[in-house]
Amino acid sequence: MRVLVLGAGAVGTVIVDQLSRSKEVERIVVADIDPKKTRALKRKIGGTKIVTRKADASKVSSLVRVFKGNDMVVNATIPRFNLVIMEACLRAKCHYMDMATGGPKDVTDSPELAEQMAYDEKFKAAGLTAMLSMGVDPGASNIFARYLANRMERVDEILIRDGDNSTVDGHSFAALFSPATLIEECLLPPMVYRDGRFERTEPLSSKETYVFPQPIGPLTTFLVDHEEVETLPVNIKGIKRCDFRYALGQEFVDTLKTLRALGLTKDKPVRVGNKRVSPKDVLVSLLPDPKDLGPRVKGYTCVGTEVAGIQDGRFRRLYMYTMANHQECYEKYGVTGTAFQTGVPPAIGVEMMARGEISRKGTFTPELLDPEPWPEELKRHGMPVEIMELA
Amino acid sequence: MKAMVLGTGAVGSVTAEVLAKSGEYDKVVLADVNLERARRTEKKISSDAVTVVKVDAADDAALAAAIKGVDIVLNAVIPRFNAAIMETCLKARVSYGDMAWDIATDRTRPGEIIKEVPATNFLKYDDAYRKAGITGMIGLGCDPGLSNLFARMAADRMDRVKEILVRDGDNGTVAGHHFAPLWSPETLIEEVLMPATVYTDGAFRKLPPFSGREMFEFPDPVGSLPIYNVDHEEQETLPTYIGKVLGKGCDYCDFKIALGGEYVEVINVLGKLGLASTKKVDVKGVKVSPRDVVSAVLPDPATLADRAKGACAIGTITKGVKDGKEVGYYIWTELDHEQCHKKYGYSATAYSVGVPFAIAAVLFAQGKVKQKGVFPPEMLDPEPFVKMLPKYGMNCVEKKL
Repeated sequence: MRVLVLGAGAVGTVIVDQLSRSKEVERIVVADIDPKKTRALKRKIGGTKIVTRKADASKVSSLVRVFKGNDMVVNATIPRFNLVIMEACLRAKCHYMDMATGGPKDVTDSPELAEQMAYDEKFKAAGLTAMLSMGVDPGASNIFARYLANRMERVDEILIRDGDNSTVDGHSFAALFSPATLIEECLLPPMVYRDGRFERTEPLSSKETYVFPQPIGPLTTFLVDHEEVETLPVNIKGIKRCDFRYALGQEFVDTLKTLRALGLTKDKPVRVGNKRVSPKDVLVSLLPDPKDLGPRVKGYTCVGTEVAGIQDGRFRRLYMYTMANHQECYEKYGVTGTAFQTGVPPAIGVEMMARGEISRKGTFTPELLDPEPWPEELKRHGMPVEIMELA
Repeated sequence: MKAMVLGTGAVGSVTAEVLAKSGEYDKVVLADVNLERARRTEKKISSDAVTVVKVDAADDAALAAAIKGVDIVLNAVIPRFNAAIMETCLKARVSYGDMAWDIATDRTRPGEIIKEVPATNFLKYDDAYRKAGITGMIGLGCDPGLSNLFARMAADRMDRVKEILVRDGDNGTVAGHHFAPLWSPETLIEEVLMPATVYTDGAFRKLPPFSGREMFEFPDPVGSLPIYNVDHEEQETLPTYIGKVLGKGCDYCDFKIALGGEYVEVINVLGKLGLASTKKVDVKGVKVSPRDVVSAVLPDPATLADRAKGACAIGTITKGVKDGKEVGYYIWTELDHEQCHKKYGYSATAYSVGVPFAIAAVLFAQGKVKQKGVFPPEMLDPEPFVKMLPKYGMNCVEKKL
């Protein structure tokens, strides 16, 4: 299989690294707008499979030229470009995969999931597959939901819980992935599914302590707007409750609330002297770049899905999760645990496509895949998966 | 008499209006780099005494030409230009007044002793002004200004002064705003994040930001508010002038301002993230100072005056000894935001600074300020000054401790 990985950031690096070792993939094209990044990536990973190309993710026609001749494109850029890249895949006849979706459209400048799902017919007609939101969360978290749901007679609740106890030396307000995305995600009114209905709640409200598996333990979590909540209640029938909680320290939340109250998280440019600048861009420019944090991030990250329902006639609450140590990941792969966890599932998805184990056409989210091979596959790629019974 | 009010922002406009209506000045020149702004003030005052001229305070030659024939220049622009304006006045033999000075120039770190307080940068013109036969009144607004005079009033009743504590409290809020400083946000951020000067044990020393938190009972309706040490002008001159020049002594002097919980949180966050920094950063090819961006997103204090509710109380506690007995006075002025705006069309913050500044100029015109040279407010006779406050709707209240 010939794969093109678009975006040579931290996650793109993990995907290429994983694929460079898989026998199913004969060639990997790494494309980015910045040739320095692709060259550095090729040097870092080595081998003979990697080819570098320059590509501008905002232009369909230029993408089509770069995509042609590849079987599949993995979009490791930011959600803003999702539709452009999907369109280019259709024209270049490539399968498509991404790790996140944008929206809501009225607040962010990136397309919503519904706009991506609208490509279903076109991909089906072209005999192509488009796997959406195939990272760790969303991604592995959706697959965990399906895996546990398959083992229950009745599913009541699906709760995604993402916790990280890491600290970054010298920074009290650091993001392990794009600070712009983190700020945006935390400030959007989170979508929740309650009693069979979707609702939006207040951002950064509803504080709750969640006890993550050891060695993380209890962390303060907040409801956050996330992809899983949009599709799991639709695709896993009969559930009453679905939400996504992210562990955020009280100091981080207070800081973010203050910045929001001041108007410093707004995208809309303001006039400063004779210049115009977006306050959020200024804020982001002052925060550390996640790719520079590397060895300074210490602690564990845990992504998992809690599913509650009836199994063998009795009510059970199970949490299926994967955990990574940031420093270990940095030593082994040169990236944080967060980037590692995000890059592995798409690499597995590519290998399954290559082996013909994923044959579904059209656009779909990960809970529609067969979850059974996934725990083994994740383990084989260095991502252990555990299931814990909750009281 | 002819006065020039340099800078027609909120404070300059108040001062100009009081001067024009005082009957002591037959000419009040409004000078501003922005002629439109000067014209708006001229229109608001609507007095035959008022004229406008376009002057850039940063352009020494232009200023020198503009002040010919003027008796006193009242500097109401940002403090950055004070020294240059004082030089220009000296060369032209024109008296001078201002209501704040740049205290941010000192780089002494918390815990260390300050070698030379920033006030020296301006008081050093004393000899030259004396020789030229002109007067230079510095820091003559509300605080500094009235606060210094309140200390002097109390000190005049004592044989020896022990402590001078300046206390600035404001419970003003603006509906719909989480953080809306009624004073220049840049100045507020700077004042609060800078190590604060305190005079103790015979030296001017620096404290870390947010030091000395305590609750202070401001007079009603301001009430009890948390206060913190902040860097300010008063403590740079009072220990020297009340203590040494007037010979009353002074063991301790500080300035504390009331800061609500949200102010402390906001300023901490800005400091922590580098948003209070004036060092330019590159943001997608645009070079800006983060603090300027913060100011740009905050509401302009000028637009808040008509919506501010609450009151401010600015005063000084002076403790000492009289006839062998411990005595103490708390003397303050108080202003209601809404009433002030309704009555005078200015924010209480600007009004309380602009009025004392104008009173100093009125006293100067009346020949009641006889001193030559450069001096801080505590060197003026407080009695005629304070007597004039009620005429302009400001009060002076005192309580024996």
